Amino acid sequence: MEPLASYPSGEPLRPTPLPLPSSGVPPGPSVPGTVALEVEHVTKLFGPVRALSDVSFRVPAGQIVGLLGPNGAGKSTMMKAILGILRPEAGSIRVFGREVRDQAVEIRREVGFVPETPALYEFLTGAEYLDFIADLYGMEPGVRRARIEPFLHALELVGHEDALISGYSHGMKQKVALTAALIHRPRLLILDEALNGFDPRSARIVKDLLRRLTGEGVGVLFSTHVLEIADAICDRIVILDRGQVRAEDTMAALRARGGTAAVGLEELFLTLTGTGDLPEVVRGLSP
Amino acid sequence: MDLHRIRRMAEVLVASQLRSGRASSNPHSFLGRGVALLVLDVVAALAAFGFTLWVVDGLASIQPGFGALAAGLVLPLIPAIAVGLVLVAGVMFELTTTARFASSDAVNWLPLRPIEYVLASTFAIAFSYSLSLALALGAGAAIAVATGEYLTYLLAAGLGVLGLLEGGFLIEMIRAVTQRVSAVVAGRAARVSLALRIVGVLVMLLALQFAFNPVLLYDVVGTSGLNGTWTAVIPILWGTHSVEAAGRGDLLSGAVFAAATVALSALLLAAAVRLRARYWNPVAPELKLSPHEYGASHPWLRRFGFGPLEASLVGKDLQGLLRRREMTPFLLLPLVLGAVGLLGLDPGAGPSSVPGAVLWGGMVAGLFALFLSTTSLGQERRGVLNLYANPVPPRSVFRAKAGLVLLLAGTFAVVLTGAVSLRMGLDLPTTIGTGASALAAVAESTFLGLAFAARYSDFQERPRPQYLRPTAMLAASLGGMFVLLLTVGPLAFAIGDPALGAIGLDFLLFGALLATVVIGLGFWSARRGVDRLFAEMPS
Repeated sequence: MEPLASYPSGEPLRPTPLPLPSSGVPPGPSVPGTVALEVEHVTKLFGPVRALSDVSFRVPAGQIVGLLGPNGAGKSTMMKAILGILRPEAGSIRVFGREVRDQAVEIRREVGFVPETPALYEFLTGAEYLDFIADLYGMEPGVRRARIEPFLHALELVGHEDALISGYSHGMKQKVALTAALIHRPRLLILDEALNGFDPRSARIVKDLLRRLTGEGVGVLFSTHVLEIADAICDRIVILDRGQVRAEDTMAALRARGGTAAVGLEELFLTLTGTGDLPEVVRGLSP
Repeated sequence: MDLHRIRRMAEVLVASQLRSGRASSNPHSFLGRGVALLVLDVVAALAAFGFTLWVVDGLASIQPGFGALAAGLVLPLIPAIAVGLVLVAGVMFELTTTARFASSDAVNWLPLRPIEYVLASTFAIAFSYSLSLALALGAGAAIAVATGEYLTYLLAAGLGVLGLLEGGFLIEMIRAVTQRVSAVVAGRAARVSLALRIVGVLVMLLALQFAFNPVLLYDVVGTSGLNGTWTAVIPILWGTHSVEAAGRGDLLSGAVFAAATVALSALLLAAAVRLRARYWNPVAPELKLSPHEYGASHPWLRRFGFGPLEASLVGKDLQGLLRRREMTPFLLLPLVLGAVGLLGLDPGAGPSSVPGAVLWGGMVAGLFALFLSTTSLGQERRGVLNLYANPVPPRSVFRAKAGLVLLLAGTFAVVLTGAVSLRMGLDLPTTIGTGASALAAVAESTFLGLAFAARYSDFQERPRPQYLRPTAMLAASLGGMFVLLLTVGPLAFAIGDPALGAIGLDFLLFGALLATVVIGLGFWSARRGVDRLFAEMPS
């Protein structure tokens, strides 16, 4: 089996022969202007805590939208609400025009989700877990190998797939979770810190994979703490802080807002989230 | 050996024990601190002291010499009970603790010597399970005051504390060995490894039931006495022999057995340290891999009426039951109770004993179903996110969870019915009736347990597996037993005692009607609960 991609040192990147989506389930709409995800005025309360407050943004089909924010900003809560795992007190969330509140189970068939901490069944082997996930999506036995094995090769899981997940490293678990999110060919991908624990080669493969998926019309909502990754791969950025959207725009527009094209995402992020007092903090730490 | 390090490590392990429960998860609460156990011990000892003194004084006034009789029976048992209870509780609760929470991974890189960890862990185990000894010491103190047997009591108390430590050392030895076994089979899902582990735990549970059952020990001490009997060759009973000899005034024998007990403790400590140093290390598992054949999971389950999605969920849960170390006791305990209880049935007692046997069969099968169903959702732990994030309708979860319990407990009920029938020599109609009442008990318990599980499951990772919140588990167990008694009881008398005649028919109708109502209500409540649970993930 040929790997998805290989990157010999010093050589230019080869095109990645991805398993998506050549046959079977039709690909998502790649019609320009189609909206994969619409979040409108969403508010989520946990008792007295306002985890999300009047949050609105969109993920157009064929684009990667970066969801950025400091710890506790509400990013994971937002992602769980999109999947229908959490129910907002107010607002509307639509995936390809369908209301999540009403059709959560059906919508999940079109969504792939990678949580921040992989929640796998550790008593199963990697292959058994992927078979289990394929069962949940009603995937025909005949197509499973063709869907799963390219990911195992590309993410260097071959040789480990028949070992119990409990023996995997964090990065390997994250790779299994990513594979599980992709094998049913979702039209919307929700990735919560999905590259945590990935080695550089695998991280690069995933970044290229995301680019290729968006070319096929898949919408991607991508949460990360690594601003360089967001800067490199995201078409639009949503900055969330204390449950509220502080900014939503393209990178270029955000830079323009910063007054100069040279301003980095980090400076913008720190300014918008009110954590721009770093020099003083660092001075306080110095002996 | 650094005593300060041992004390600090023991404090950490006790805190881990105390904070594993939801109620005491607040580290600043009184119940989250070790002193809570000490206060509980003192209160229990004082209560046992007062109650026993009142009983002994009262009975001694009716029957002179009762105090001496009580001293002869109770004081020698204290050391044996201490070892037995720690060992049984340790096997049930300590061996299932995940290595992460037992700090066992940390000690591989912390500057701790094996003896320091073994002593700290043993002190923590002994302290955690000291309540039973506190009760025994309180009761023993009352007997000593009533009889003046102060020296014998002090010896029993000292050997009782030593007994707690002996139990702790034994647990550490078993833990080190099982850790090595787990490390060797880690990463393997081979059927032989799994079967060996299950058989090993089953043998261990059976052996402990027979060897350290306090009732059995009481029978040994009470019937054969200890004077020069065969029990003198059982090291774990040397403490008991010492106290018994001291009580008789044979101080030399008492001292010899006490010294032997101290030597045994030292030997067990040395063995535990050696095993730990040798086995408690990470070992690289040797893996032999074969290509995985992708395909629909567990197609054989479709024969039981499960749809493709449910079959996959059931298959995954079955693998979890067989492969997860913490699930083994849940699966095996009913088998152990069944085996022990079956031997306790008395076929020679005639027809009058048949209703009891039918009732026992129904209760054991029902309780098995109850434990499986109450834990069925909580055992998903963090993996429950898979059921929320993927397209799994709540009704499929309900059918899979209920179906698996009905399948396992139903099979168990049929096997148990056959065993009861053979043991008691039941005729065919009575056997069929026994089976029907056991299956009814299974159905009741399955849905009642699932109704609790849907509302009170605990999906968090904790040091000791806690699939249902403790208060809910208590309520489910007591409520379930009550309901089972109420329904299976009348059925047992109707089936097992033909002499009841028309009243028997009334019993049968009452039991059957009540069982139908319980099953119906339980089914409705469980299904509604699962629907609500999967409407939104608990925060």
